[in-house]
Amino acid sequence: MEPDFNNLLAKKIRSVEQQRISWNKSEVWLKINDQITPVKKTYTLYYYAAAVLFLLLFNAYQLENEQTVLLNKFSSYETSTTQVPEILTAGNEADLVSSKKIISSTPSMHHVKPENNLALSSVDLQHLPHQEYLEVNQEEVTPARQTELTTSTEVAKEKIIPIVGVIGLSDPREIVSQAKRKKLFRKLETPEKEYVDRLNNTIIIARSK
Amino acid sequence: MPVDEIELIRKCKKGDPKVQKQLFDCYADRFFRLAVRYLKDVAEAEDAVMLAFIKIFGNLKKFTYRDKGSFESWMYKILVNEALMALRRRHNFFLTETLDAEKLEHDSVVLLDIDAGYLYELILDLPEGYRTVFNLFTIEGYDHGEIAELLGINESTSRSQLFKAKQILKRKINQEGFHYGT
Repeated sequence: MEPDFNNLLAKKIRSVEQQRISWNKSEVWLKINDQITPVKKTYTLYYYAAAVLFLLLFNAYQLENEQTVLLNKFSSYETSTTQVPEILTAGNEADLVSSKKIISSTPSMHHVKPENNLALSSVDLQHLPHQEYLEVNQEEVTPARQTELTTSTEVAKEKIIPIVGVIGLSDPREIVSQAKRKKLFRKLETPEKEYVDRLNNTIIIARSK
Repeated sequence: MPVDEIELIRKCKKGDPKVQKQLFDCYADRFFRLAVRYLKDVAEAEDAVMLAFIKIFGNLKKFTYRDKGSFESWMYKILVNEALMALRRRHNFFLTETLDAEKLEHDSVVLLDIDAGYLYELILDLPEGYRTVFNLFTIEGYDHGEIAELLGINESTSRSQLFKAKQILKRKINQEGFHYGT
């Protein structure tokens, strides 16, 4: 009995619900349509953000490259300073020239003028091995000095790259010239006694050990 | 027409706005009346219809067509769920009133003489709890177990709510001069 009742009742109610009714149908549809229609996203903002990000990354990359170049230059100075004490303590011309060859043959030093790298800033000249110095008449020593410098400048002319803009380093050329000057005045042999007695008629040639 | 219905579903799945509108126009009135039958409030019924259609279009890709009427019953279930959710938002169902359901008996009913519109109005006048159980059991065809699960109540509570709903309907019909039962 009950199923019949339920079926009859359901049919009657469904038949009522089939009938048209006035309600805010169009308004409801508009709301539904707003919800189900995929929103057209404006990608302009994303494009701008991507462009800005790209520029930032590009700038960061450039900056990193510049820093790497500077660090490479700096490391080349470090390499050169390791050679300097040997050169300065060698005490003879042959060692000096060979040392310069070593410097110029070092891969990281190819772009650096060898003469300028002899005593770059990090060399502490105060702590070099103590050596005796003799007072010599500089005018008489000059010819020998000129000869020596001639050989070194030939090497230097091959690869000249100006070293500029390294913060914290003093002018390397000044240091090199100081080192050279010290080198030239040190360890000169005393003239032989027979010539000392006849100084007036003697040309003194100083020779470094 | 199953073929048309299949085609309608296929196009709706593709997101064709014209077909979606067609589907809405086809079912909107029925859905609205059904929502009103549960909620009795026009604005809430409109919201329920709207949410139901949004869910229908959103979940249409998950729907698999089985046979004629499966799509309609799937949509009706969604709408009924939305209506019940609206009722829950209104207040919780605390339907703890129970009766000995075993002793309940129903008269055989002659409903052919009762106007369907009038019957619809009578159902709307039922108290909310009674109306909900009556709608779910008598018109939507859920059993008491399903109703208990949907509403979070006991099965015996569902039975008692239905019994009381029918008693109220009987009384109102008799008051109007119709004969309810034998």
